[in-house]
Amino acid sequence: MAFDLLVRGVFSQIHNRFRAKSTVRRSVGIVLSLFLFLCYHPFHSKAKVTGLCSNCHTMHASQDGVTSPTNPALTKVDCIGCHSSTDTETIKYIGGNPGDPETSRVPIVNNVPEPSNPLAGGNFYYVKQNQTFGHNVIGIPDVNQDTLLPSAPGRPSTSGGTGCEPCHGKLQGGPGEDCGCKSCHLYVIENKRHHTNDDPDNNKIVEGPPWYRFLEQNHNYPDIGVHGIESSDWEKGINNTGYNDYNQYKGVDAIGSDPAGMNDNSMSDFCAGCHQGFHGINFTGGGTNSSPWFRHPAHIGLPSGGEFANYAIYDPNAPVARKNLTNYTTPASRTTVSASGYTGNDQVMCLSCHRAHASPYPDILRWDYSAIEANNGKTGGCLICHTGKK
Amino acid sequence: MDYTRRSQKVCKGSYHNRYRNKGILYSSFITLIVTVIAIKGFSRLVYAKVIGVCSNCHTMHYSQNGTQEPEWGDEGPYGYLLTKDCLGCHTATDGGTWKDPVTGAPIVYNLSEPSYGIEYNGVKQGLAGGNFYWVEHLDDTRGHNIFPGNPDDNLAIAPGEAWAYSPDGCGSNSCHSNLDRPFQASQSFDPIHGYLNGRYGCRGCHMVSGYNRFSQIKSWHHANDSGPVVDSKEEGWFRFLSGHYSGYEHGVAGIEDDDWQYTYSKSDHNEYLGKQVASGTGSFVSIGANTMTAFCCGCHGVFHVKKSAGEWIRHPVDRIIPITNGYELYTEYDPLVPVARPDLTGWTGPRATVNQGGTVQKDMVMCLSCHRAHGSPYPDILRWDYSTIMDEKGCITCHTTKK
Repeated sequence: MAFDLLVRGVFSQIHNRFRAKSTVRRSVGIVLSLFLFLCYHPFHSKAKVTGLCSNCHTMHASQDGVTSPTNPALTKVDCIGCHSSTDTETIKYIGGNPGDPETSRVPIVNNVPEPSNPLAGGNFYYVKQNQTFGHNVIGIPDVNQDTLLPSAPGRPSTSGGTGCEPCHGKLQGGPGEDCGCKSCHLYVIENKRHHTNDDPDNNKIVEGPPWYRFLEQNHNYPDIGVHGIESSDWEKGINNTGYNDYNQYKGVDAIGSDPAGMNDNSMSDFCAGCHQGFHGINFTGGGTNSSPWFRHPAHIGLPSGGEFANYAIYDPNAPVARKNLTNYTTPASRTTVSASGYTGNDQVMCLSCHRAHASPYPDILRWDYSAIEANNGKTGGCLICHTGKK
Repeated sequence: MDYTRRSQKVCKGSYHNRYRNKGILYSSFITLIVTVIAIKGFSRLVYAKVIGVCSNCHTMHYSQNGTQEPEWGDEGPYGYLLTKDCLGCHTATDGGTWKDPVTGAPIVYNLSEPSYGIEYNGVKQGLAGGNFYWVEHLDDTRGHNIFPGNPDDNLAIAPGEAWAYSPDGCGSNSCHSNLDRPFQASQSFDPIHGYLNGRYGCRGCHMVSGYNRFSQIKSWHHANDSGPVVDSKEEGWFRFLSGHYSGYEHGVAGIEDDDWQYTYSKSDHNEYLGKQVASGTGSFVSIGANTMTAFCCGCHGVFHVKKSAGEWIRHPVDRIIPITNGYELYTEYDPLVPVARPDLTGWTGPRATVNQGGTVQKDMVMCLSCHRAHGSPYPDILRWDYSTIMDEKGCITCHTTKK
C-alpha cells in the first residue's frame, strides 16, 4: 500500500513535471506561432521589405573582385532588375524559400515570357508585344518611346512645361532618376519607402507615406499620396475559387468640387496627373452632374438604380474605388458593390477599365473593347457595369 | 407460342421504339425548324435596339492614339460618348446605302439621291421617314430644316405652330418653331425645360437619350423595342418619339417595320396609332393618347383645327376615313398612303387592309398619310407631287371618286 502510494506519488510528480514542461512548451509554441503569424500573416504590411539585406543590397558593388553597376540606395539592380523575371512566375522569392525569414518576396511586373498569373497592375510583357498595350516605361528592356503618342493623352495643359514632360508627358523618370517607374512610383531614397511600415496603425489601410504602392500624388510639400488597401498577393490568386483578397482603391467625391480633384488621395486623381483631360466631371453636358457625359466619367459614384444596380457582386475585372475604405479591411468585406448615386461610396475610376502597367489589350484596357458587344448575349467588360446592354 | 408472341411483342416494341425514336427525331427536327423560324422572325422584330460592338458607336475619351479616328466626327467630344452626332451615324455618302453596314443604323440622309425605297412616279423616296437629301440638295420646301445654321428659306417658324414663342412660353429658338438652332429655355421656364437646352435638329423630335426631370430615361437606342407594338417608355416609344411636357409617360405608339420599309408591301410596313378627335379642337390634341398625329401637332397643331360651320376648313387628321363617297374603296393598305389605327392592342404585326367604318372606331387619316417626316422629293414634304395629282395615286388613293 505504502509502496503503491509511493509509486503513485512519484508518478504524479513525474506527470506534473511533464505536464508543466508540456505547458511551457505549448506556451512557447503558441508564442512562436503567434510571432510567426504576425510576421508572415498575409495582412501584415506587404510593402515593407523583409528578408536578408543582401537579397537586395550590395555595399560596394563589388564581390570577389568583380564589380557591378552601382545603383542608388546600394541596391544590386534597378527597379526593373528586381521586379522582372525570366520565367512566367509573377511573385519571386529571393534569398531562400517562401516563408523563410531570410526570404524577400517580390512582385513581378515584367516577365520575359507571357506571365502565368499577371498581378493587379498588369504586366509589361504585353507592351513589348504591342506598344498600345501598356505604358511605355523607359528603362524596361525593349520598351521604347511610344510612336503613336508624343505625350500622354489627356495630359493637363496646366501640368507644367518641358520640365514636367519627362514624367507627366512621358515615362522617363524625373530628373536624375534612373528609370521611368519612378515617374509614378515616387520612390524617394531619403524616405526609404521599401522599408517603411505602410500600416503603422494596423488598420489595414495604407493612408500615409509611403502611400499605396508608393504612389505619391504631390511630389512637392506637403507629402500627399494615394490611399488604399493592398492585396496580400497583389491579386495573383484571383482565379482561385473563393478568392477575395482584392486591392481597394480610394475614391473621393468630385461632385461639387474642383473637377481636377487635386491631391485628394484618390487613385483616379493620381492618374489625372497625366490624363486629367479624361478625368472627373470634366466634359459633362448641360451643367454639373447632368447628362450627357462627353467623356467616360471617373471619380464619380455609380448611378443608383437602372442598369448599374445590377452590379452588386464585386468583379475584380471592373474594380471600383471606395470613398470610405474602413469597411473593406477584411477580404470577405470586399466582395460587394453598391451603386448609390454620383455621391455614393462606390465609384467608377480609371482602373475600373484600365490596368496600370500593361494588359493584353489596346489602350491598356482590361478587356478587348473592340469585342464587347451590346445586346448580343455577351457578358464582361463594359457590360459588368452597363448591365442593361447585355 | 409464348416465346413467339414475346418475340413479336419485342419486335413490335422495337418497331415502336424505332418509330417513336423516329417520331422524336421528326418532332425534334420540326421543333428545330420552328425554333429557327421563330428566332429569325423574332430577330426581325428586334431592330431599333442596338446590337453589336460598343466601339462601333462609342469612344470613351474621344481620343485614340492621341487624336481622333478618321471615321469619327470632328466636332466632338459628343454626348453619350458617341463617335459622331446623329447625322454622322445616319448618313451615307452614296445614294444606295439604306443601312449602315457596320452599325446597322438606318440612313435618313444620303449625299446622293436615294435609289431605294417606295417610289412615286419613278422617284424613290428612301426609307419610311423619307430622306433629307432633297431639303439639302433641292430646296427648303422638301424637308424639315434640321441642319444647324441653315434656317428655312421660306418659313420663319413652323407653319401651324401651336406653341409660338412668348416670354412665358418655351423661350427662344424653340424646337416647336425651328429645328436648325439650339433651344434655350426662357428664364422663367429654365427650371422646367432647362434640361432641353441645346437640343435642335434630329433631337428636336427624337427625344433620343433624353434626360427628363419626370423620368430619367436614357439609352433609348438600347431599349428593348421588340414589341411588336412599341408603346412605352421602356421600349423607347415608336422611333424615340416622346413628349416632354407631359413627361416620358407619353410618346408615340406603333409597330416598327424591321427594315424601316426598305422593303414594303401591303403587309410590310410601319403601323401608327391614331385617335379620333372631336372636330373644332386644335393645338395639342390627343397629347396623352400616344398618337403619331398628336406628336406632329407639337409643332403644327393649328393645322389640326377641323371644321367651321360643318365644313372642313383644313384637311382633317386623326379622323376616321368615311365609309361612303368612295373612301370605302381604299381597302388594301398602300404604304405610300399610310393610315393610323385606332387600337394596336394585340397586334402581332402590320395588317394588309384598311378598315373604314362609320361611327365605329376604325382607321384614320393622319399627318403621315400625306407627308414624310424627314424629307421627300416633293414640296411640303409630301409623298407625291401635289401640283400634278389628277387621276391616280396620291390624294386619289383615298379620294377615289376624284379619278
